[in-house]
Amino acid sequence: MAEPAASAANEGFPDLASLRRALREAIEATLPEIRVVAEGFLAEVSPIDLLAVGGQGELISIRIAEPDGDAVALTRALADLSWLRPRQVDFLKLAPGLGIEPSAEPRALLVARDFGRETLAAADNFPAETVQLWRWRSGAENGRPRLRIEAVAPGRGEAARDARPRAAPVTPSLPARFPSTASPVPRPVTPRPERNAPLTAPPSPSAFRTGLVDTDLEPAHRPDPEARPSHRSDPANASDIPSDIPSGIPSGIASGM
Amino acid sequence: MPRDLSDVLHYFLPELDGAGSAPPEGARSFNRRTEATTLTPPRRRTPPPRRETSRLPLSILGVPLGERDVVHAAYTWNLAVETTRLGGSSAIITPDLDLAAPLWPSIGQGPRELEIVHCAARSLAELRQAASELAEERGKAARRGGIVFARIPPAWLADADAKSEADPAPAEDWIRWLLVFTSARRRDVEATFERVSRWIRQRPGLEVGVTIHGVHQIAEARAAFDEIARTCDERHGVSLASYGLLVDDLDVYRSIAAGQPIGVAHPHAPAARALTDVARLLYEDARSRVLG
Repeated sequence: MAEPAASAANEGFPDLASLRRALREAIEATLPEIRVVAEGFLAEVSPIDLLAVGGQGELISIRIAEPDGDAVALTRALADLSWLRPRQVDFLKLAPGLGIEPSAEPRALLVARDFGRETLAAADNFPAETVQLWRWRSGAENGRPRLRIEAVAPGRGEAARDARPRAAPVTPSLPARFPSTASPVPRPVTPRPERNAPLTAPPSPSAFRTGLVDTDLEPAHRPDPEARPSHRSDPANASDIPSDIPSGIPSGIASGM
Repeated sequence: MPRDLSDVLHYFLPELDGAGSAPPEGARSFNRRTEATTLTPPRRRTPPPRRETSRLPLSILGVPLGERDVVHAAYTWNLAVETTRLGGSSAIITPDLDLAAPLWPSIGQGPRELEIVHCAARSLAELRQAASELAEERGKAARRGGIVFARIPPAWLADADAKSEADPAPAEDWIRWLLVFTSARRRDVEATFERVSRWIRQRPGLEVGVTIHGVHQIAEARAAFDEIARTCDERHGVSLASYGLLVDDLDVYRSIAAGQPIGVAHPHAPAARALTDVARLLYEDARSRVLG
């Protein structure tokens, strides 16, 4: 498979390796909480341009999109998330010094010269942390090509509606259920969760593992018809144990060892 | 008539276990490549029979459980059920001293694939032997690995401690992979550390995993595990494995009372989610190596 972004259109950069190097430097300068740990790391099918560990120990797939290849790169980045998720524990075992936190969700960072509207709209469907879009600009410093990156703001699909020409004119008679392109009334923007403040401290050394988040510990949203809500039992407290426990079960059940 | 190399490749491959074994990994990818380049239209082929046997025994996970430790036994049984639901093979082996104790659900409850085997073991070495035989036997039919959960009466570990001072038991008499449950309460954490310390002092190479239960927030479980793990690392230079957290909620006790797996009776309950997560961690570790 041809490596992505190995195109001559990446001006100033003779090959993919130098583009990756420049991107790595740009990330180190712009996002100091992210540590790049591998280049050209083979994932399911194609190599991840840069594999990094974030401030919370999460794995980050960083993909460089070819010109007009941002949709493909987005697909690959999403595939990387599925590929990385079950391998976090293996990475932790192989390289415990990287500070990988297996319970942290992996995320993706997509870097492109520019993003098409479809990519922007598609990325809008994910939580802000899951897929982040960054634009890169090339320049030169002391005759050496340099890269500058800037984040595409959240709500990017809406904001970027007029950023690039539309591929096809919008039909004015579109039904009302498709107001996003035809209606002059702006669609209310759903507030996004704030991005966690970047950590400047080294990643957590904790080896605690769980695939759960705190909301998983809350009572289910779909109520169980038999469940009695808002009752949490303490196994050390026999009075908390419901009366339907058979009498054969001893009361001091929490610490029989 | 064969149309391409992939149609006849199996004649040139070594026979694996059983008559209907699938070709090895390399051969499968070669087949895919061949199909991708051939110009003939793809033929609908009967998929090759899947490999039904494995030479590897299941991993043996020792779980120290007192004879009145109903909640932890319920966790263990539910973890075995969840391992089965994740696609693994699992069984519970326990000394037949338990027959009178209300530790396990009665026969016939739970999934059919999950077996509770009572053995006549009267020592850790005998339990280890019985568990090994069960792991060998189950491993032959397990295509995706799995776990034999061995209930260890805590007194046997204490006996082993005392014995090993003067006359250390051979390493093969020990179950090398242990799972310990503890709450996040300070005194439980300290007691767990003391127990684990004794075991790993006596048995270098022992792998101990810890599951924290009875927490309402992940941070509680993380802090409790970190405390035990950090102290073990500092004092003994041994890393403990984390096997997540479990939730003590009403559904756990309902499950015990009904003798039903939580994941089946209350699939949306936090306890069920947590059990699945812990089972996944255990199963992944069991598949990555064979411990016993």
